[in-house]
Amino acid sequence: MNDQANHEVEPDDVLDVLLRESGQYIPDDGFTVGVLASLSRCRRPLAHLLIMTAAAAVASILAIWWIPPLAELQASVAKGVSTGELTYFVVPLLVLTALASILWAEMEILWRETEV
Amino acid sequence: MAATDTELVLLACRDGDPNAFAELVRRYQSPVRSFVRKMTRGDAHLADDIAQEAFLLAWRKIHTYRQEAGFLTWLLTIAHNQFRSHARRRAETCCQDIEETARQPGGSPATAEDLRMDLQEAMKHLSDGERAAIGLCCQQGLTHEEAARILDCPLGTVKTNIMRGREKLRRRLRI
Repeated sequence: MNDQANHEVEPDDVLDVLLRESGQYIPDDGFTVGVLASLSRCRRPLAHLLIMTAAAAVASILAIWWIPPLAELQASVAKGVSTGELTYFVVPLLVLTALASILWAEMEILWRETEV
Repeated sequence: MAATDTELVLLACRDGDPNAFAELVRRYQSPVRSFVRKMTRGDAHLADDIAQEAFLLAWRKIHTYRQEAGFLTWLLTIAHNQFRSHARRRAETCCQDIEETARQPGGSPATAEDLRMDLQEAMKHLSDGERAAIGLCCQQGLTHEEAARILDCPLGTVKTNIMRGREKLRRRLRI
């Protein structure tokens, strides 16, 4: 290797040799110990999944229970459109926001659990 | 006799044996860290953080490992995804080419020692795609197919990135 370092070699060989040498072994230097230490801190994926799923399920049930009937929401929007009064849009917007948040949270859980 | 990757994965997956996983980390920390270092343009501290996150994710997802590809290929896929997530968080674009700057003219022909020192600098001027493909195939010795799988891109893209990256390196290193 030292010989190579002190001599000029053919262009293609130089690049190949350089690239191979730059991919040399990196000593562990405590890296594995660091990973293992972190493992013990994050070793609760199943509990985490269960808690998040249960929370999302409870939120969904509460939302469905709390949401006013669709006809009522439609009437409110229609009234808002016809009168130009913005307050009629508040409840439908709140409902939409709550549903979107729950859906987003559920998607996030699914994505995190299937992410590689 | 040393346990195979498959045996260690089984132990880690079925029994949740951290020692088995530790052995896998010991085996593959070097190629994973080396690859991520290339991707972070030599930022060893950031690279080690990303590599550590990748190993932690690998531990959490080890039950999803299908032995269609080697364990290292699977690990490098996770590491590459972690790097991409990190790059996204830092609002960097993944395939952004850095403007090539002209090399100082008039230098004498470089020796291998000079070139080795310049290579790290030259690698920083490759796009992420080129650096990743060269890092995996020319430095880690993986096949083009394995690199395509890790980088989640077509085989042709890997080949093009290697060709283009090597050409850029040659130009910058004047070899």
